[in-house]
Amino acid sequence: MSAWRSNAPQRLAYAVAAVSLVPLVVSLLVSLTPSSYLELPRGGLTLRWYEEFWSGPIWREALWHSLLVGALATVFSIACGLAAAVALTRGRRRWTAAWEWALLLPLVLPGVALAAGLLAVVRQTPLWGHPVSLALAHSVLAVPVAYVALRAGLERVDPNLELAARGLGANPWQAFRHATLPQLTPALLAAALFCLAISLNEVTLTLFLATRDTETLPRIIWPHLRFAVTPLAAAASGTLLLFTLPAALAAGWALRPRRHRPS
Amino acid sequence: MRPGRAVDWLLLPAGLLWLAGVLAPLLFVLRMSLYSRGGIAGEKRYDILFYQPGTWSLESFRQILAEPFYLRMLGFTIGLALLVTALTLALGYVAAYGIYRSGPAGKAFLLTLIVLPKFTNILVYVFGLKLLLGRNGFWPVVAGETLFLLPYATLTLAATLETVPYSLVETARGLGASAARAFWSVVFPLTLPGLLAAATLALLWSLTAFLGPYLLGEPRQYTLAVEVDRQMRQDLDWPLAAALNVTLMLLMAGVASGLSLVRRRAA
Repeated sequence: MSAWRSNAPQRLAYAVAAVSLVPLVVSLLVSLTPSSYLELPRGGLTLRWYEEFWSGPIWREALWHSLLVGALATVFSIACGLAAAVALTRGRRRWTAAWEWALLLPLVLPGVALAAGLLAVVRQTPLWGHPVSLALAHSVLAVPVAYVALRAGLERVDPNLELAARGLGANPWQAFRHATLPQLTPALLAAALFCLAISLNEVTLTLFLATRDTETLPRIIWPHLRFAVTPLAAAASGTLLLFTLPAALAAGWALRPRRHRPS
Repeated sequence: MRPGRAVDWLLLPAGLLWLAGVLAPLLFVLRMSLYSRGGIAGEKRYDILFYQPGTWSLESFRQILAEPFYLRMLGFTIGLALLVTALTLALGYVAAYGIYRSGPAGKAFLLTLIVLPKFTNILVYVFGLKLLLGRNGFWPVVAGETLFLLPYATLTLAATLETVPYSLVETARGLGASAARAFWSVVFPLTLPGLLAAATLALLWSLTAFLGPYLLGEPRQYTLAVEVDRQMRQDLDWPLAAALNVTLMLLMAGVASGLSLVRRRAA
């Protein structure tokens, strides 16, 4: 009895976590249903909806767009986030707070406000309807996350190694490249995977900015969710999961707590 | 800024992206909210279809503050945000307390489970929720929005709880306090700053609720953000969409500064 009671907080936490995971499990199970209707599989699982997904040119193209935009957004966000994190951890302290406030602002802005404004801005440029505009828009949301992850990584790097490299005659770039960057690899990997996940999962900006030439998976799933539905949309969702879930687990692994970390 | 500091130049890419991707869109929204509505028949140019360039007008704001439809929507948005925030904090606290009382492996495992839905596409998640609940309505919206925000609240609260040494509880128990009393008079007060931070985030994010009401709700449960989308992409009244956006952001700014005042007074 007393053992059960001392475990009660954990049990409750597992219950909350389980409830929050049920929709995900349901979604995956439905994508494996042999029936033509949205229902949980009865009497066996099938990959038929995944086959249909992969044989549909629209869906395949949307997946390609998603991955292309995701890769571009990851590159942009890491470049901006890493440069900003280096500048703000090494540079002057005076403006750091203001810069950080500005960099993190997109995280609290309403998605529809950002999307509406970006739509108005992007329509004035030749990038309208180009995957790069979608990637840049996703970067607006991913840079804050990349910045926070990379700043945390940089703060854990031993600055003396870079100083030693400078003392031995390396220029600032060589010192950063050979002394700091190798120590930063786990944080970089995690930040890149976070950015990829943000881009692949972003819905609001994508709805506003994607055109017929840049339709990504979330954009194609959207009407299926609102109106009618076959398990095909579930299979599309499942396919997205195939890309983002390993990214999530890898990010968790790259950021796992290490024993020698100073605390 | 002192010139010649090479390191400062590294802020350039993020700064440019910020100017083009954050400041310019916000200024556009602000200016757009003050245009007269477009819709001139027979007009071929896009921008005149959506709004009339060069005009200054408060008609969109007047419409939001005068029409009962928008006042009800404003009230519903705020009410939904308050309810979702309360539920998110309660569930998040329960989950965070379980994490606090677990060993190192249990902590990592529970955190992974809680954060996992955030790494899947929100549409996948909504899809499952829709099937599970069977129909759209008020409670599906509340459930959806609460579950979207739960991971953030849990992470914030778990981080705060980590700073409370459990020996304090053991001391209180040793001095004769009941478990409940030890929690409410020792642990809970120490987590108030984290609770306030989590409440701020949850309130700001639930005020912008869009996907939950849109995909899990009936038209009666539509929020300001859903209406922005409708005006932007279907009714093509861009000044009204922008004015709704400005209203929403003013509301959020009010909530944020109100809560930071509470924090400063408490500190």
